[in-house]
Amino acid sequence: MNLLDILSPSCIRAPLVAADKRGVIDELVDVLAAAGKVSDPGTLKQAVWTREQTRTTGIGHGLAIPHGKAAGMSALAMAIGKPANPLDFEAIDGQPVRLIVLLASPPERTSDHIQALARVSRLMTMEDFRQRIYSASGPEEILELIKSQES
Amino acid sequence: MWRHRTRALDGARWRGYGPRDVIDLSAYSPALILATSEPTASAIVMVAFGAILVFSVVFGRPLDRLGIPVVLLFLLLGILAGSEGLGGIPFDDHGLAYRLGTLALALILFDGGLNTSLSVIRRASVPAGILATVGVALTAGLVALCARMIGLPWPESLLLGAVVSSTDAATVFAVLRGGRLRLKDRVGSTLELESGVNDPMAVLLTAMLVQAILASGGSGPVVWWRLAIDVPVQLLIGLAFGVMFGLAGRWFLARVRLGTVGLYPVVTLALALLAFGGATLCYGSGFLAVYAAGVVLGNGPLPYKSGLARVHDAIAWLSQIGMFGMLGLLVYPSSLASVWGEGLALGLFLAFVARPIAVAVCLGPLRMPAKEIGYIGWVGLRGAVPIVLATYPMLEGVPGSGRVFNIVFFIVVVNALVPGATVRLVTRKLGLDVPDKPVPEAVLEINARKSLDSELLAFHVDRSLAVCDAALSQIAFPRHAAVVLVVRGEQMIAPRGDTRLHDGDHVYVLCKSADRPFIELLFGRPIDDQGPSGGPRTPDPG
Repeated sequence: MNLLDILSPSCIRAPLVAADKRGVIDELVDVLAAAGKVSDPGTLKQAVWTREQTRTTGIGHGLAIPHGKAAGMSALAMAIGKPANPLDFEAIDGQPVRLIVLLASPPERTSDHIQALARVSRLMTMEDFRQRIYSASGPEEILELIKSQES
Repeated sequence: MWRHRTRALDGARWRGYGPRDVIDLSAYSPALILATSEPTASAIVMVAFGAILVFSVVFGRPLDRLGIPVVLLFLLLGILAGSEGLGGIPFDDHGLAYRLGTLALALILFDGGLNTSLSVIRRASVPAGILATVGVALTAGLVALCARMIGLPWPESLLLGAVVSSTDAATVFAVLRGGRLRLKDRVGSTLELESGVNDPMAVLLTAMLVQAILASGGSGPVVWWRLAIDVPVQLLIGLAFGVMFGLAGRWFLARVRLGTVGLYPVVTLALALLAFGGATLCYGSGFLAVYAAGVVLGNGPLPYKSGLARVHDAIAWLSQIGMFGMLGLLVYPSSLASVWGEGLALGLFLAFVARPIAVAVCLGPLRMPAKEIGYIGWVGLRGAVPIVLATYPMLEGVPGSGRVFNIVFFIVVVNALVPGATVRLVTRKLGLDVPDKPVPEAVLEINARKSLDSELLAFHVDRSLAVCDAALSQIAFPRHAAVVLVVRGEQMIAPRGDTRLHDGDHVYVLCKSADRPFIELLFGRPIDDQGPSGGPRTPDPG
């Protein structure tokens, strides 16, 4: 699973406009919709939010990976957002979140969906990489950092 | 802090029971002699107690569904069994009630500590800490002010405020569970932790007020500066003792090898008693000590942990039932009649004014969402602690303490009923609930003497999860993790690579603790996660 296959440069937003958990999820889904990757943003927003209710996807160290499956998508898609200020995501370690990676997939692409989740979380376990991406100044820099790992 | 005056305790005064009341045996029929002589009398007590326990447990569920905290049932049963009820048991020994009540609270708090996970503490320590100190003091002050305004003298008003100032989350969670709801992480954690750590403050306030009132003959000014010094000192000593005994217990349990598994809970029980008693003797808060010891033990590797936890859960339930029953015995309905006005007024004031204001003042600066602050302010239910605390001034012979006790009874009942009955509705309306998950038909758990480096987590699969409909071979497990059992309805499925996870399945995953965040990312919330109202919870007072 190469993240560059599912991430378009237009789907990185830094800084985000929204400043709360729900708002950030909605904003990132809208980013995907604007890029033509999601035909029914409402359903996807609901799916991601439902998952978030089961258990926060703020998995600690400042990272959240909200995700969901929704019909009306042709392929996996990823959006990355960096909040203007660290954001409360009810993360498991109680720390505010500094980067949100939203993953969306068609219902039948279960396997790829899981691989992408695994890839993102593995990438972010690297302390050095994590710090660099948290201090990135804009979308270009975030994309460059991911390219450095994925190409 | 709980220094008894020597005259206070003169043993049980159970009038009408026991052989010492049968003076001339020849005057009674043989049947009566048999009924009041010892083996039979004990048997009758056991039958009565057993019947009450079964009754309480069986009727707990229907009450749960109605949103009425089940503890009120125990209280009612106690009143019915009492001298003015059907049972006719005359019990007015406040010394014994106070002692047993304190013991019961300590055991309940210990169990609460065992079930409090570090993640709850991490998430909620700041808001809960403020609520448990500043919030308690503020609530006490507001209630005292209100009591003074409706005509009670200052000493009684202050006592009332202190006695009713701590909350009880167990009732909230019991009511929510009856409706198959659970609270969202932060709100639930805050309520839960607050209730665990705010009793010490209420206890200290009450004890010090009693001493101050007695020292000044009930009319002089209360020495406020002593509160400001003593409270932090006692809390710190209590905390230090709790952590110390918790760590010592961990160390001991990791090394000692006991003859039978049944002895391990005996050791943990001993630790609870030692932590409470030791801290109290050294001028610390025993309640904080016993809770902290529970937290330290519960978050460490314990031998036969799940079995151990179950024993303490049972002890906590028994304590809860016994304590409320006993407090019910202490209540004389006829003497309640004279204070119902004050009781009702103060009960409603606490629920609608004092608690919401105190919570808003404490949590406002933390920038929590307004609806969460409002919710926490609304569900500040009271439990047994106030009633137990109210026996303390009576024990010490504080003037007016009988009236305080009766008013406290009203305040507790009103606060359990009014927010209690609306908790579910309010939770749903504010959207603070997460639907609770069904319980699997088969439960798998690991019981080991020594701590192991992996954990077994249970999950309920639903459509929102990434792993729903995936074959196990498609799941990118970390190196040392795997699914070990799938439970589908009444079927137990041996996991294979081509086993697909269906909506509604229960899955057991074995993994290293370090991999847990990733496993939860894929599988959601573990079923017996000790988060708010998660898993089989027991009462914690507070």
